Amino acid sequence: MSAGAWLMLGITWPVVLGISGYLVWKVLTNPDAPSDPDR
Amino acid sequence: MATRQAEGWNSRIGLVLAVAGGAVGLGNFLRFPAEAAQNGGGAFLVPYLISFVLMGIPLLWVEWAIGRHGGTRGYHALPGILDVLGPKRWLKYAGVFGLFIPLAVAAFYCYIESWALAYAWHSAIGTFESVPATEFFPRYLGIDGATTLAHPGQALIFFLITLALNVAILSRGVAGGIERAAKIGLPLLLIFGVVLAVRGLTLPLDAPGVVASPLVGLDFIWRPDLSGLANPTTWLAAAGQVFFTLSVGVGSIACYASYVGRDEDIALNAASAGWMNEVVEVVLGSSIMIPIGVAYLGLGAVEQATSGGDGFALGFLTLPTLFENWGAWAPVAGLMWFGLLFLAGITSSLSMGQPVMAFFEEELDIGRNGSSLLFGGVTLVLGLLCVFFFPGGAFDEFNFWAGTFCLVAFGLIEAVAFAYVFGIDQGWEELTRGADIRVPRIFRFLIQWVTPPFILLVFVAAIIKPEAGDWQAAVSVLTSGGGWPLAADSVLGKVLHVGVEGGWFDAAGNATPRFVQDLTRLLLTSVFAVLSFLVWRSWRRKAARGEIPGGPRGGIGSGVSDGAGEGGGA
Repeated sequence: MSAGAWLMLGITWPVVLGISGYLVWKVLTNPDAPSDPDR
Repeated sequence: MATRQAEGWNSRIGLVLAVAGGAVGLGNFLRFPAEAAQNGGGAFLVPYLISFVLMGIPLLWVEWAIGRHGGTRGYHALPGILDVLGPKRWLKYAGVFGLFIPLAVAAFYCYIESWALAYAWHSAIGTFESVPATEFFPRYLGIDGATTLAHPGQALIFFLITLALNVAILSRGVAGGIERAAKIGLPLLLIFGVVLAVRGLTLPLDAPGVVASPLVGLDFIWRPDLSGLANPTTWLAAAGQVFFTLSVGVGSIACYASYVGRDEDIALNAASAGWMNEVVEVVLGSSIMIPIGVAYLGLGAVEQATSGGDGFALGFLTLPTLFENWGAWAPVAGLMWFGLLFLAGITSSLSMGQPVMAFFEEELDIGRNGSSLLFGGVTLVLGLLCVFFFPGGAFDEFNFWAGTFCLVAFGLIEAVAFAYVFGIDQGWEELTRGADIRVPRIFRFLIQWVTPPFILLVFVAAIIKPEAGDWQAAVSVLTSGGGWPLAADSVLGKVLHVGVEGGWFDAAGNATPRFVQDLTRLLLTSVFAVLSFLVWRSWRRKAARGEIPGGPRGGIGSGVSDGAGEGGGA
């Protein structure tokens, strides 16, 4: 792999995995059912 | 009926998985790596991620916000959801896109989904040990290359099975059907994807059949070609991929969000589903098909196979045969790859069904089982055109008009309606109410001033895209008086049949691809017209009954005028 490819992959994958992981963790730690109880 | 009792999601994670499952589709594994490789490699990720932030995430939030707003007023289908955004008559007709797109996309999408199911079956029983996939594919589809009409046998059977499976799941409702399918399907898909990616990327050079390191394939996708950043075609491809992959501009996200309670979070749900899709696309999507293809075929063959910007040829024609190099693991690998594609497909096609079923239930007063059967029936009729006229290009027409052009058009309508009809103040309040994350305030500015013009730019560029995507050359031709050289795959190029010669029938009296194209367009236009009529009739009846569309239920309201729509206050 070229240095440029490693660089792009090395930046993009951690960013995408990091943000996604953080958001999923937030969802899992707030697992309230989203349905409207009035329905 | 606006006051019909609606369903709800059982769990938050189920909702997020269902929305993420709707977004994660065949495009994540087949289209993204090919698009990236053909449009600047690693440099493609720059416009891609910028489009994701400026257009994708804002549109996700817009769809979730308008969906929940409509849901709290009793609407789960897009005509009603858009109608209660403000006192404009056209809103409910704009919502027809939110019925037409899912219906038409489901028709051709279920067909591809059925290929994945059939290939998974044939991988498991070892068909590709003796029959190369390149021979199997045309035989399976029933095409001989000479006519515009196919004679499918197995393809038709698997299509019917796939459609029946979709209808069966949809008939079990939002929580019992869609949510349960997503809870099983998405984790399974991730497991299959990770196993294939790890196996693909660690293929040793001395393994039987391996001609190159799979890392050469990874390099093919990720090596940055910065010159691509100056090319509008790269930006158009990146923005198009963001639209395609997030399933924004379809209507399904707004429909799913309409089952969320008034004060429940949507900001975090939307963001987590969107970013989950990005992980599957950017990490897994780039690690399977092309690295494995390059390892066994070499870079040149893979470059050629993906030159059209999609990975169908590589995914369906080549990979099954390449898996045969894995010996006893070949059936497992084939089962996992096509199982993965099937799961990605079915979680997406289910998301197409719900908006249409919600309309049947709310506006035509048909029960859930009846609605799912009606959805299945209409999808079957439309899908049969794709099945039988596949060689004539009916499938491509569905893909282009319903699956590409209308997505951008409807996304633009939603963005404008949210920011300028509903109003950014009310919209921002809707989006941030009950939010479990702090939505950066910059997005308020982006949603109002950046996202709509950004989508408009993409929309206009798609209409007038020049030949070979070369904008500089096109401007030169124009300024020298040669006219604008339209690309055959631009919207205008399609309308004007650029590059398609001859009439509807050839000298022998056989139908030509042009006939199939026009027939398909006539059918799609008719479907849109019928849906518009149904919306018109439904609102006329509401007016006659003195109903107030969008009136708040059970004390839940958002302050939008009750006089929305032409039946308002009648």
